[in-house]
Parts: sequence; C-alpha cells; structure tokens
Amino acid sequence: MRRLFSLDLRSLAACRIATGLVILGDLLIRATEFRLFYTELSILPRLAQFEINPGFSFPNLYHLSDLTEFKALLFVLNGLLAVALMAGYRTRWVTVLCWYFQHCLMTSNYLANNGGDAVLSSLLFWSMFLPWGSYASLDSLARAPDQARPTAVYSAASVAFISQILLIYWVSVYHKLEPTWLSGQAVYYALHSDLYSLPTRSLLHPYLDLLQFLSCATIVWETLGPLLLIAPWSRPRMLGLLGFSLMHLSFGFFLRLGIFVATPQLFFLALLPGAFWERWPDFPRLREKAGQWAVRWQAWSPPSGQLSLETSALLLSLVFYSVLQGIGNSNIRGRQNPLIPPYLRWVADWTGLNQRWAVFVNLPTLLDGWALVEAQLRDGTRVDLFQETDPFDPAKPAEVSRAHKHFRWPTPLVTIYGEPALQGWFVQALVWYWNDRHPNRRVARARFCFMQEPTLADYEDSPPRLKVIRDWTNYP
Amino acid sequence: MNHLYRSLGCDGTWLQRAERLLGALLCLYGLRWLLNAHYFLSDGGPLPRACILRDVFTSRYGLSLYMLNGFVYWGVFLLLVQIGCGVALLRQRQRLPAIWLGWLLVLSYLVRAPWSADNGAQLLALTLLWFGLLHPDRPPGLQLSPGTVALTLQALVNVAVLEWFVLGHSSEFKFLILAVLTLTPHRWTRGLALAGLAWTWLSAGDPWLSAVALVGLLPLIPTTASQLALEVHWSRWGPGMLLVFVWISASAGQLFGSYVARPVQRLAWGLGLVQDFAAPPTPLTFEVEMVFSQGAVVRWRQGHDLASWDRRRHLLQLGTGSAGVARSYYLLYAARRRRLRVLSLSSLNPAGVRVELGRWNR
Repeated sequence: MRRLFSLDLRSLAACRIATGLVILGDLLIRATEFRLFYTELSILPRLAQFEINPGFSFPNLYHLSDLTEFKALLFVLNGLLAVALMAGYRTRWVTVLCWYFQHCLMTSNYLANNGGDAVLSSLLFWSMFLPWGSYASLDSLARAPDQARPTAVYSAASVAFISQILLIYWVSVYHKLEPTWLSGQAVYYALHSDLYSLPTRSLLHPYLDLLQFLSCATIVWETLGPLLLIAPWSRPRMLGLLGFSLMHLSFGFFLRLGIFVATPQLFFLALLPGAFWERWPDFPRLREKAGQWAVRWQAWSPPSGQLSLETSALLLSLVFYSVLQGIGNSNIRGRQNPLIPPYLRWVADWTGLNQRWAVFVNLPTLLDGWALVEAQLRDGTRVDLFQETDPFDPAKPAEVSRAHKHFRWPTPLVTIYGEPALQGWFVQALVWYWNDRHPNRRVARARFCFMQEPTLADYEDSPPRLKVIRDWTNYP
Repeated sequence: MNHLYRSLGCDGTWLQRAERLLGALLCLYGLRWLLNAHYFLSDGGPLPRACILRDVFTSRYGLSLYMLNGFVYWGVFLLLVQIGCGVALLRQRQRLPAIWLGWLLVLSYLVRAPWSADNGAQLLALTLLWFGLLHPDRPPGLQLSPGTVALTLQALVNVAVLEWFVLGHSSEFKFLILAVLTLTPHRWTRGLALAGLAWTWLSAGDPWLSAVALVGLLPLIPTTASQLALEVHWSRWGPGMLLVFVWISASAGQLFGSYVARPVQRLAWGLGLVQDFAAPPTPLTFEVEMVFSQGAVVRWRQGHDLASWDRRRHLLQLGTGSAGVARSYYLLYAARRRRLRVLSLSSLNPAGVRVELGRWNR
C-alpha cells in the first residue's frame, strides 16, 4: 500500500509550481470576460443566484458586495496567492486560501465552470493536507540545513490525492457504459459537436473506423490505464503518465476544452516517480544563497506530512463520500444523487468535491448548433449581440466554437438553453454590454435563438432548425 | 497652523471613554437586532437576500457578511460576534480588531436589513470607522490623526444632516455659528459650542441616534491637558484621509446634490459612507389577516414593543400596493400553517382608516 499510494515530494513541488501558474493563467483568461461572468451586470449576478438557488450555503466572498472594484480586488488577491503558491511562501495557509478563492470563484458563477475547474478545485482541496512546500519553496529554503529532508510522503492525504485521479477516470468510464460509447460512435459525436470542436476535427472525420476504434480504446484505456498511474515501478508509471498526458493533449487538439486540458496534467506531475528526479543536477551553492535570502523573509519551516488520526479518518471518509458522489451523480440537471442522504449534500457544496465526471456521455442529447442573439437597434438595424456580427447574419459561422472569444461559453449556453429562469439574465447582460459600448445605437428588442443542428446516429447532419428561446423588449 | 491642528485634535482620555461607550452601544444594538433575527436576517423570512438586492439599490454595493449565507443561524452568529466586539471594547481588550470588526458587522447589518436599521446604526458604523483610524494606543493629551479630523467634522455634518433632513429646519446661521465655535481651540468657547450641539441632539426625538451622536461628541470635549501638548500621528494619514475625503464627498452629495459625489458614490455606498438620515417612522399600526381553508380567519396587529418598532419601520418603507411583502409574510407563515389560503397585510393610520398593502393567495 505504501508503495502504491506514496507521493514524491519533489513531484509535489513541481505540481505546486505548475498549479500556481495554471491559476494565474486561468485568472488572466477569466479576466477577459470579467464583466459578463462576474459583475452585477453579468449573465448570473448575485441577485439571480439568490433567487434561483437560495439554499446554497457556502460562504462565498464574491457575495459580499456587487461593487465591481471589490470583485476586481478579489481577482488580484487570488493572483497574488497563486504567486505565493508558486514561490512556496507559507505554503499550507496559502494553499488553503487558494482553494477557498478557487471555490468562491467557481460558485460565484457556476455557469462558467468547466470540468477542468472541478479538477483544479479537488487538487487544491487534497493538497491542503499534503506537504507540497517541502521542496523548491521559500519555506524549505528557510529551514535549517541540518534538518532531514524526506523525499516521499505516505498519508491519508496522499491516498486521497491519488484516489481522486483514479476516481475521475473510473467514474467517467462507469458513466460511459451507455449506447453511444458502447457502439463506438462517441468520438464521432464529440468531434461533431459544433460548440466544442475545432477545425482540426477534419483530420479524423473521414476515418470512421478509426473513430470507432478510438471510442473503444478510450474506455479500455480509462479503465486499465489508471492502474499504471499507481504502479510501484517507475517505468510503467511513466508510461501511464505519458499516455494520459497525451490523451488530454489530444482532447485539446480536436476540441476547445480550455483548462480541462491543463488541470489533469497537474495530477500527472504530482505522480511522477522519484526516479525521475534522480537525474536532475543539484545546485548546492545556489540553494545556499537562496536560503539566506529566504531566511530574511521569514522564519518558517514547512509542516510535516504526518496527519493526526482524526484528520486521516476525516480524509478517508471524504474519499468514500467522493466515490458515492461520483457514482450517484449524473449529468441530468436537477436530479439529486440518490446515494447521498439529503443532510450530507452540503458537504459537496462546501468542499467542492462534487465529482461530476459524466462528461461527453449521452452525446446524441448534447446541444448541437450555434447561438444567436438577434437584436433590433433603435436605428432600425439588426446585430448579433452574442457573436457580435454587425449586421446580423444567421448563417453558420465558419468555426462555431471560435464564434465566442472565451472557451467557457459552451457550458453556460447549454445550461441557459434548458433553464428559462436564466434566459432573461443572459439576454439582459448582453444588451447592457452592447448599450454601454454603443450609446448611440441602443437595443430596442432582442431575442435569444438557437440554430439546432443535431448530429444523427447514421453519421449524417440534420438540417438546421431555428428555435426562438427568449424575447426581450426594452420598454422606454 | 497650530491653532488648526488643535481645533481638529481630540483628547486621549475622552477618546478612551467614548470607546467604552461605543462598545456598550454595539452590545445594545446587537441585542436589539437579535430580537428580529429570524425576521430580517433569514432567507426564510419576509426579507430574503434576493428581495433586498432587488429593491434596495444601494445594498447591491454595500459590503455585508450577512449576504454570505441565508440561514438565520449565521445571522445570529454574526450578531453574537458583534456583541463580543462590544464587550471587548468595554473591557478595552483587542481594541483595534474589535473596532474594525464591529464596524464591518454594523455596516453588514445596514446593508442586509436597511429598512430596519435606523439613523443611529448608520452613525455608529461611521463613528467606529473613525475610531479605527485613531492611533492604536490612546495616550492622554491632545492627538491629531485622520480619525480625530473625521470625528470633529462628523459632529458638524451630523448636526447639518439633522437640521436639514430630519428636523426640517433650515437655520444655516445657527449651524455656521455652531461650526465656527466648535472649531475654535479656546476651551470655554468650544465647550459652549459642544453644549449647543448636545442640546440639539437631546431634542432630536430619536433616542438611539442621539445616544450615538452624543458619544461622538465626547472626544471633542476640551480638557486642560489637551491644551498643553499636541501629538500628531501621521502613520495612517494617507488611507485615512482618503476615507475621510470619500465620506465628505458623499455627505456633500447628500446635502448639495448627488452630482458632487458621483465619482466616489459607489465606493461610498460600498463602505457605508453615505449619511442618509431619514425621519423616524410615523406611528401606523399594521395588521395581518390570514384566511384558512376551513373558512377560519385570524387577524392580529403588530404590537408596540421594540422588536415590533423595527418591523413597522420596515413595513413603512415599502409603501402601498406592495404585494411582495404580503407574499413574503405568506411564505413565512404558510410553512407553519399548511391550510393557510389567503394572507393580507394592511396598515391602520391614527384615524383608524385601513389600507390594504398587499394580498397573497395560495
């Protein structure tokens, strides 16, 4: 067990630094849609959240005020924490704060979340209990040189951390045992999904047999591959890590998945075997100098990886809870997990361990097509508020997934499409955004439509069909 | 320059006494708000968070810890923390954290339940903020810091707002005389001016507001020691004076038109720096009527105790024809009475005329 569930501390340090980078990069990307995702004029402002989901109890910092400056300040603080995490400054507390800020950011607009955010949130959660600041950190440099430095950690936290990555794949496979995947058509459907697919899909599209093989290979690899991730020998483990890493990179090559390509790689970094680091050169003089500098900043040594019996029991209970969450959760919105008693549902809300890994399943029911928000301006012209085409053009964009600048848009679109309570907020936010930038060309009427073009089971396209979802009128 | 410094300085001994009294007021407000916690601070009550954000424009920007969670237990917890801060100030323990946390909690309550919090609570938040800008130690003798500048100016702004907005007087001459005399460093002149200010507050007719305003006047009392030495504390001058500037702009906006404060308006709302005193509620009586499925009718009137005073104040702000509040009442009571079919809310004016404010049917 110890050999299966141990984590190398140098790998954890690499994972920590990469995590800080990913958080920082993600914040910068999120900032490009700050107004439409996080302000009071967003597609899901605080008021809408309180009305739609009043029972949600997690204390979210973003709910303190609607002041834009305040939310921008939280973004800046989050960025500073990411830098501190990379530097390994007071690592444990910074990790706790990073997790809290990440969870707040995710719950402040749950529409904009991507599977990669959930991976990042769970990684940060388990890392709070791991000594990932033991190497390559200011904390470790400030430690007395005669103190012994262990190279690996084995605790309930490492068990939980590794279980998390296994859970992601095995739960995903569990949900993939459905007709689309079993018939080998899933990859075709996924590549045909206009909201997500990239033009590179044309490289694979003609080869239907290859697509069928890839569908089956994905299931087999996600079932057996995780066993390689915990292999006690370094070569098989490296093989597994390389395989999964390439798998996620290939997802990103053909589909616009954004952060979902990057965050699983963080887990793979942490799983690198100790042998990987043996070949790296050591720089004792550089370390000594950096240590002197670090001591000036702080007198702090990282806490050990040992956990109390109570904490270990709690973490293992949370692993069990996560398994139940993963199996019981489905991608059907609004359906409660039958395996979790109602009085324990808050645990997932508070910890972020929702374990919804049923991604790209039941693909024929996935929304396919492109969104149009047709607006009639007061000067009589028509524009598209979503794709920002002027004049309005309902024709299919050359690349649907690139018609919106942010990779996070498909998820809100799919959710808003199915929830009437959200549609008004969505259209209103786009109208306000347009009006602010074009004060002389204000919107008089707008309507949210979806041009549906579902993929048929026989690898054929259906003709596009316009569906009007919501009308909006600006009464003077 | 020395004269100006002395005019804007406060005596350390009186600052300490005022701080203790502020602690007592924090406790009293906490206890008073606890009486209505289930009513104002719960999403299950007639004023859920969404209702406040929808209907109170300024509450969208204000910082409020109560917005973090809609359960009444969270509200009760925060009120207990507020009482704890009050006790800490009374006992002069952990003063600075207690002052800042106390300020944040009072501000939070003002944002969460704006219709129940009165002018006194608004002034209490401001006074706590100014005390947070004082020098952390309270050495005896005259001291000058952004906090003392703000406290001195606050006393004058309070009277101006009271005169013009609450009492409806427009005696600029009286105000100017009081202002000039208050800013005079001479001991007896200033004492006389303070007596005038105190008298204005005692005759204001709002005991809570008067109590807070009188506590705010205490640090301005000149003493012999204060005439001897002047200690200037510049350490928090920058951010402190920025806050004072935002507050003065916002107050000027209230007095002379909102365009004055426009650049800093949202920040002022966010930090509760807009002094928006309103007249106390007129003594209307509110009546709730519930009709059950078997035909039974239950009708009762809001009482005249302290808790009810806050509720009546809130109901008054809603105006007539507000079906929303009747619905909120309905939700509050329907949960306990399943056979409730109709709930109506009416007001009775002193002449006994009944006006229906809202009606809700299941």
